[in-house]
Amino acid sequence: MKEKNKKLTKLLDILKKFDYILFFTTILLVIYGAILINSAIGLNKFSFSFDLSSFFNRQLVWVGLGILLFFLILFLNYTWLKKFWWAVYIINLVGLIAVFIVGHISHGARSWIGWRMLKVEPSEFFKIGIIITLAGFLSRKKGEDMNLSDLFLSLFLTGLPVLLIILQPDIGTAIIYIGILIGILYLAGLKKIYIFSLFISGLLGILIAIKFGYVERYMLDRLLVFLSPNLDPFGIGYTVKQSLITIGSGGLFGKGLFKGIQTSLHFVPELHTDFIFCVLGEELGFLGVLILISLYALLIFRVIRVGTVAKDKFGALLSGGIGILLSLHLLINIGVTIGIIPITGITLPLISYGGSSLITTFLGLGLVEGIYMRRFHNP
Amino acid sequence: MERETSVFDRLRILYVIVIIISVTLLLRSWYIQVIMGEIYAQEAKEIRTKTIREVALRGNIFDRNGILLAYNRPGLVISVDPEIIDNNPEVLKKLSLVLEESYYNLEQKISHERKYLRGHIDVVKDIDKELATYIKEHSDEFPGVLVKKVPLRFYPNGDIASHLLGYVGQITLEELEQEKYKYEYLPGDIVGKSGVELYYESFLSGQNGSKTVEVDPTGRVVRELGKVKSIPGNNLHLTIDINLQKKTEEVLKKWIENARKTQDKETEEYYKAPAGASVILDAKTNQILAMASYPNYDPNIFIGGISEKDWEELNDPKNNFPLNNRALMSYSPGSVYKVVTAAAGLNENLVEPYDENYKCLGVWTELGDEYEKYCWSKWGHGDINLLKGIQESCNVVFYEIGLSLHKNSRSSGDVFYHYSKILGLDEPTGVDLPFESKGLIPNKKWKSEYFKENPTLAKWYPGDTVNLSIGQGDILTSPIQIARLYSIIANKGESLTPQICLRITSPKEELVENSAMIINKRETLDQEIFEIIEKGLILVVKNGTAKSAFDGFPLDEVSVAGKTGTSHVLGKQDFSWFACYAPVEDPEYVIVSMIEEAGSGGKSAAPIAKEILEFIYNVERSNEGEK
Repeated sequence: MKEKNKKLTKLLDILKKFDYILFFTTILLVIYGAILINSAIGLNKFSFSFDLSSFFNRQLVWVGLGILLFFLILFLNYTWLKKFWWAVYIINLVGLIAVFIVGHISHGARSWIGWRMLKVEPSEFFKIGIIITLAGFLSRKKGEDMNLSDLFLSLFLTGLPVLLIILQPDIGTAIIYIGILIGILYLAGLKKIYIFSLFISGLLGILIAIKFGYVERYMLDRLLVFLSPNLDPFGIGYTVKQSLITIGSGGLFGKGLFKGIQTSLHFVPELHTDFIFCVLGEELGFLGVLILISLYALLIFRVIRVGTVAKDKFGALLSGGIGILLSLHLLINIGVTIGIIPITGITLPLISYGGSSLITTFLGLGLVEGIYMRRFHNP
Repeated sequence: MERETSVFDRLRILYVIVIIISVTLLLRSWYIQVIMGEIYAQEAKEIRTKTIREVALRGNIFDRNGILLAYNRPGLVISVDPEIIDNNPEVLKKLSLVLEESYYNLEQKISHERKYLRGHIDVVKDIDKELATYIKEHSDEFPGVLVKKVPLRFYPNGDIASHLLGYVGQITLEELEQEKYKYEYLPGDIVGKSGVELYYESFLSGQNGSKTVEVDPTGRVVRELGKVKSIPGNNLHLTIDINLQKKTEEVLKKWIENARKTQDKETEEYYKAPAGASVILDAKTNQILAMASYPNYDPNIFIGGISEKDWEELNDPKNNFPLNNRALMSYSPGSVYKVVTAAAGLNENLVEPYDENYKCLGVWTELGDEYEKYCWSKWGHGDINLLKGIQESCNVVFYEIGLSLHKNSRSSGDVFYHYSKILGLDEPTGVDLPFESKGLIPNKKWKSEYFKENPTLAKWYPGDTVNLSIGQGDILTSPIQIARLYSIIANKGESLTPQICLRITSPKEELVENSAMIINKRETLDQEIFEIIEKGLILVVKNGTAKSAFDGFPLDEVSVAGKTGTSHVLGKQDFSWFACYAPVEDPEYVIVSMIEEAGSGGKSAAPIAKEILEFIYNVERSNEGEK
């Protein structure tokens, strides 16, 4: 414990404790992503302008905003969130409900609200929201004694947004929420037997949903194609097959930046968002993939590390939750493109094009950085 | 510090999970990119590139004077994939609405053609541009429907010379298995189906090229990667003169219609005259100047696939099978064959041409009373020699010659076969047209094989030789064979192969192949024999069975040597024949005409030759005014 200093010296002190590796890994990843977006949209040259009809320019603007937000959030003492997690939860829930009233439809899901350029995806922001909520809720008490009422309240708190997101419908995002829930419950010290029964009942729920026709036909088709990728290569299996061909044809060294033929001809849909990994695989080959995954793993490691050195349980759960969030995105997004996970529309944070995803991620990483810098401070 | 919980320890598990995730993703990427990389790269290439066939333009067909008989014009054809249509039956309904074709017709056509074709089936030919654009723009409503821009074969003269030209169509599965199509052709290709389109397919078709292109996922061509240019087919110049051809078809049709208005005197039935043929050869070269077959058809109905209805009509027995080229089909020749008997008799020294050695009483019983044979003239011709026998086509004279040939010959059953062979019968003439019938000259061997089951019939009897002597019995010859037979007589023994191809030229009209005259070096007979027969043939036209037909024809200006034939066919009315050549002194034309079930050759077939000769020699048809 240190004595109270003047505010300025305190701030300088905080900056000294800044995790530069975490920050610069993030910056490297967004640059990497912007280059791939540039290729995915066929721009093939780096020049920035304020012509916001180009995804590349827009992404750069989002990156700028994201970095700004990252630093702004550093000034917020995260322990404050511990008290007001319920407020964060309610604001996010309102946003999610608003989607159903004034939302836009994109790719078959009603997930956007806003106007023109300023459209946001509340379900993206809620990812951080649910982490704050669960971390806040589960760190109310000191010690390890998690009782059943904690469990059911956590289930309820997560179940509400998950239900709304399934209704959009956006199964991929819902899965992320469930993953976060399970992960944080584990970190918070829930007995393994509970987690196991949670998993079983979840599976049962899915089976019942399929049985009674609550699962849309296309979801089953995707699962079917996943189980047998050569099934119907021009129908539902088309995307998986094309994705594999695009990535596989890159080989060890890739075809060179902006030289991806499959990419330029758009054999895979959604190249700049959910299938950005295809661009990487084809143009930069396995080496490019290795660099991306290494950077990503490094970033997540730093995030987890923050959790292990955090000064309180809330900070640990918060960092852990964001680490889980990034890991799930990494696994599912790349897993889909390389055919080890059924098709679900999930972005690769920091790499994929998309304002909401980018801002959310910067927000989360800003929080983590804040936790790191305050690791020795009392609130 | 609130570090009393073990949440910090549990966080370390996340490190392990992240490592597991990263390693899994990397291993899988390694597998896809490095181990399977080559395979995927190959697949990527295949998915991107498409080979588009460039169909070579088919060569044009001209007549001997360079008049265009067949050419290509660009056209739009609707082609459908029957398997996609099976899964989307509503497409056909939509198509029928848009095309204003009956749904039933389209369906029938597809179900019919798919038995023979693979891949896309052409269903509607020659649609207009707006319609094609509409279908292309609404391609998502018409899965499996293709608008093809193809060169369409077009025959400007319609049904004129249809049998000679033939027609084209999509290659059938059966054809694709044939040696000549196996390697170069693909389903959907257009090939000649009959006539010279079929016979000269390899010259006309040219060589298809191909274009390798890169396509995007929607199949749109992004860029061209490589190209093998197609080589257009060669042009075909035929020996026919389209004006003479038109005239010949016109005259043939006229006399067929005329025969249908004529009654058979014995039965008082009208002649059916369902079909006929006429052949005109250049006597010196045996080039075919005209070849008509009735009924005919318009080859243009085959453009872009024939409709089921048209196809049924062409194959309906009621319509007498207009696709058949009668000039190449075999018929009982009757008396036109008598020249062979005369030649055999003269060559075997069994006939004294100028002595009246024969006596015709209308009935002939030399084979025994129970085998009475008759001359066509009930009252008989009285004392008669060979020349008059030819002139009057007296059967008795030829019975006698036949019988003496039978008795004389060492191998009595083969004597006619031997002489027929010399004169080019019992084998195809070798004309460059498809589906030529070889005909049939019966002999001992044939009979024993044909009637294997019935030993009584399998024997060769004198009656068989006698029957053959007047061109009756099982004998079959085609009009083109008879034309060649009379060309041999006209040329005093020289046998030439009839030809339809004059020359083949490149698309730039450079000579590729000039068809040379084909002289068959074969055993022949003394020139004198042909000269004697010719004398008889001149009499036929002047005073004999063809006299009335040539009434009013200036024989002193253009002398004609000919022979009529009226062949009896069991269960049918008599078939009419006439074969001639002119001018006798220096033969220029050989003309043969034949009408099925039209009675006497002198009345029905000979006038055709006369009218054609009048047309050729530009004779004023003054006699018509007199009538």
